[in-house]
Amino acid sequence: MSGYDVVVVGLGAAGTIATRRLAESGLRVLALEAGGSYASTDFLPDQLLNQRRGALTSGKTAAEMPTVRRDVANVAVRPPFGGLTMNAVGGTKIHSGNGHLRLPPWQFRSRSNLLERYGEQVLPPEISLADWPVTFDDVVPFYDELELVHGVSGEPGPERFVGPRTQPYPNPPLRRSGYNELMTAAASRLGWTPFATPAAIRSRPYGGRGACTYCGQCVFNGCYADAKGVLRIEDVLGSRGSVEVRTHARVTRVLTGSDGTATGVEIVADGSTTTETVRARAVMLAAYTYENVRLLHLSAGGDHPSGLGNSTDQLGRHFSTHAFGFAFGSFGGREMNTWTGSMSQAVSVEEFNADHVDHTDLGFVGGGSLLAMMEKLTMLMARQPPPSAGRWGEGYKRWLAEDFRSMAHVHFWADEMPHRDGRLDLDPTHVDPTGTPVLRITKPLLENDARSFAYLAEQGHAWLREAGASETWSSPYHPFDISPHAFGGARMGDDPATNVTDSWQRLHDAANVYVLGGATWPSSTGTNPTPTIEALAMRSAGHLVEELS
Amino acid sequence: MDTSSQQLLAAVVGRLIPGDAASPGAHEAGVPDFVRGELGGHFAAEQDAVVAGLRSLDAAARTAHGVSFVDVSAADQDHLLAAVETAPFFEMLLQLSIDGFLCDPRHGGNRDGVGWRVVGYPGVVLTPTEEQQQIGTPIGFGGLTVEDVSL
Ligand SMILES: Cc1cc2nc3c(=O)[nH]c(=O)nc-3n(C[C@H](O)[C@H](O)[C@H](O)COP(=O)(O)OP(=O)(O)OC[C@H]3O[C@@H](n4cnc5c(N)ncnc54)[C@H](O)[C@@H]3O)c2cc1C
Ligand code: SF4
Repeated sequence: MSGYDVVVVGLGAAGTIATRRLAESGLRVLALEAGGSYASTDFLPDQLLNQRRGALTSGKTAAEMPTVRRDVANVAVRPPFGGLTMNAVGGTKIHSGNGHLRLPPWQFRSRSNLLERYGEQVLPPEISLADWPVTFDDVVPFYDELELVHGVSGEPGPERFVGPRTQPYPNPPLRRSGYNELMTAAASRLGWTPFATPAAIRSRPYGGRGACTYCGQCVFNGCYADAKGVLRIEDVLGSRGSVEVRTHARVTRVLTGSDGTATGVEIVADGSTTTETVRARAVMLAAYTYENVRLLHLSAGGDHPSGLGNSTDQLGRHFSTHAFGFAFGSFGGREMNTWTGSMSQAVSVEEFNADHVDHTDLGFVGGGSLLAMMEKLTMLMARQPPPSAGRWGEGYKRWLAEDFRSMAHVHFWADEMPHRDGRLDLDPTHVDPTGTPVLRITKPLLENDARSFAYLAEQGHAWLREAGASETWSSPYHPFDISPHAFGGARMGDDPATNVTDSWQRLHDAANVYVLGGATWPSSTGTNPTPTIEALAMRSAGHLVEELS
Repeated sequence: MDTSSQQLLAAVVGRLIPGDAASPGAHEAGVPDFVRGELGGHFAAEQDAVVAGLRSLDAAARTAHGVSFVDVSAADQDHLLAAVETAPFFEMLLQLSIDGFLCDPRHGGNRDGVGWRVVGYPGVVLTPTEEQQQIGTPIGFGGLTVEDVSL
C-alpha cells in the first residue's frame, strides 16, 4: 500500500520529540507542520515586536482562537487577547520560558490522594478531578532521556516535591543572580526548600548547541544563542532516511475507514484551496490542546457522527488551564538588576504545589509553583505599578523613574480544577478565515480556583517581604481560558465510558489515533507542563513503534 | 488625524507620563508621534474611537473651563482625565504611551533611549556579566537598538 506508516500532525514540543523517537524505528513517517521553521538569527530581542505585537504568535493559532462562555445559557464570545501559542517547527516551546520540572508523584493519583487524606466531602460533585492511568514510574525513563536530549540545566530539588532522581542533570543550573540569591535566602528563612529552577535551557554548550547568555528577551522570543531545548527539523529526521517533514501544511481532518479506524489525514498546503489526502497506518495528533480537540470534532463522519473519539460523549470534557499570577515587591530604592536573564533563571518554591501543605483548613484543594525570576520585561512590567503609585500621571511617572528599578517579582500559577459541566465543542457561529468553526470553550468558574490563586499570591507577598520588600502587591485573579497551559478535552483513562483516550494517549474508539499534549491530562496539575507532555509523547511513540512492527 | 486631534493627543499623552524637573517624560521621548503612528498603522482599527474620545474630552474641558483641553492647567487636565480613565480610548492611549516610552527606539518611541534611561533599563545587553546581575550597582547602558547588535 502506498502511504506512510505514521503521520504526525504538528511539530511542536510533543510532535518533534515523538517524531524523533519514531525516526529510530525506521518506520515511514510524514511529519506535518502548519507553520514554517526558524533559525536562531530570526529572533530579535525587540519587545514591542515580540511581546506586544506577538510577532511569533499572530499566525494560524491566533486566527482560530476559541470562543469562551461560562455556561451553556450564554453565547460564547471571542476573548480580547491572544493565546500565545505559535506555529512553527519547535512549536510554542520556541518562545516559552522552558522551565522544566517533572510532575510530583502525588499528581498522578491526585483524586485518590485527596479522598484518602481529607475524606469524600473534599471534592464537591462539580470538580471532576481524576487519577491518571499512568504512574510517575511509568514516565521516569522518558523524563530521564528527555533531559539528556535537551541538555536540561538544574540541580536536584527536594525529593518529596519533585520525586526521586537517579541521574544528575546534564548541565549545572543557570547562573545564580543577586536576586536569585536574595530570594533563596529568604525562602530558607521561611522554612521553605528553595532550589534553582530546572530549565530546558543549556547553561553551557551542549551537544553542538549553544549556551545561554542571559539576554533578557527570552520569553515571547526565540533564542538567538540557540540555548533553548527546542528541536529543529534536523533533530527529528534520524539517520535512517525514513522521516519526511513538510511545513506550511495544515491538517484539516482525520480520515477514517469503514471500521472507524484512521486511514490517514486530509491536508491543505499554504496558499492552496484544494485538499490533499495522505494515507497512513496510524495518526499522532500533536497540534496542541485546542486544535487536537477541534480536529477530532471536525473529523466526524461515518460511524462517529458526533466527532472522532466521541462515541461515549466524552470528547471535550474536563477542560482546565492554569491561572497565572504575579506578586511584586518594591525593594526601596535598590537597583535589583532583574532586567536581564531568562524567566527560568529563577528560584523555585514547590511547598505550595500539589498537596504538600495540609489543606484541611484552607478551603480549597490544589496549588501551584512559585518562582522568583529574572527577566523583568520592561513593557510588560511597567503596566504593573503598585496601587499606591496609580496607573498614570505624576505618581506613576515618579514610580517609573524612582522605583521601577527596585521592583522584582514572583510568578506563580494555580492549577484549575476540571469542572463537570465544562466542555470544548465547535462554535455554531464563529469560524476561522478558512470558514471552519473555531472551538468553543464552556468553562464555569470554581470558587476553589480563586481561593487557590489568592493563597499562592499571599505566599508570594510573604516571600518578597521576608526578602526585604517594603511594599508588596499582586496581579488580580482572572482565568486564562485561552492559555499555553491548557488541559483536558481528550481525557485519558482506562474506562472507555468515561475517557476519550487510554493510558497510551490512544483513542478508545480508534486504536491507531494518538493524541499528544495537554488534551489527554486528567488534571491540570500546578506544574509547568512541557516536560510531561514530551515524556508522554515519547512513551506513546515507543508504543506505536511496537504496535506497527 | 487632523491637527486639533493631534494636539489633544499630545496633551493627553503628556499627562499620562509627564516630564518634570527630575526627569523627561512622554514628550521628550517622542511618544505623541509614536502613538499617532500606531493609530495610523498597527492599531488603525482603533483610531476613530480614540479621536472620538479625545473630542469628548475636549468638549468636557470646554463645558467645565470654557477653553480647549489643551489650554487648561495640568491639574485640571488630570481631573478631566480621571473622569474618563475607565473608557476604552483612555486605556488604548495609556497602553500605547507605555509602549512608546519603553520600546526599541527603531519603532519611533523612546527617542534616544530617553525612556529606558529614566527607568534605569540598560538597553540591549545580550551578554550581561555576573556582576551586572548583582543587586545594587547600576549596570550602565548597553546598545540603543537591536539594529546595532549583530546576532
Ligand atoms: C510565554 C510562554 C511561556 C511558557 N513557559 C513554559 C515553561 O517555562 N515551562 C513549560 O513547561 N512550558 C511553558 N510553556 C508552555 C509550552 O510552550 C507548551 O506546553 C508546549 O509548547 C506545548 O507543546 P505542544 O506540542 O502540545 O504544542 P505546541 O508546542 O504549541 O505545538 C503544536 C504545533 O502544532 C502545529 N499545528 C497546529 N495545528 C495544526 C494543524 N491543523 N496541522 C498541522 N500542524 C498544526 C502548530 O503550528 C505547532 O507548531 C510556555 C508557553 C508560553 C506561550
Ligand atoms: S535568556 Fe538565554 S536562553 Fe533565553 S533567549 Fe536569552 S540567551 Fe537564549
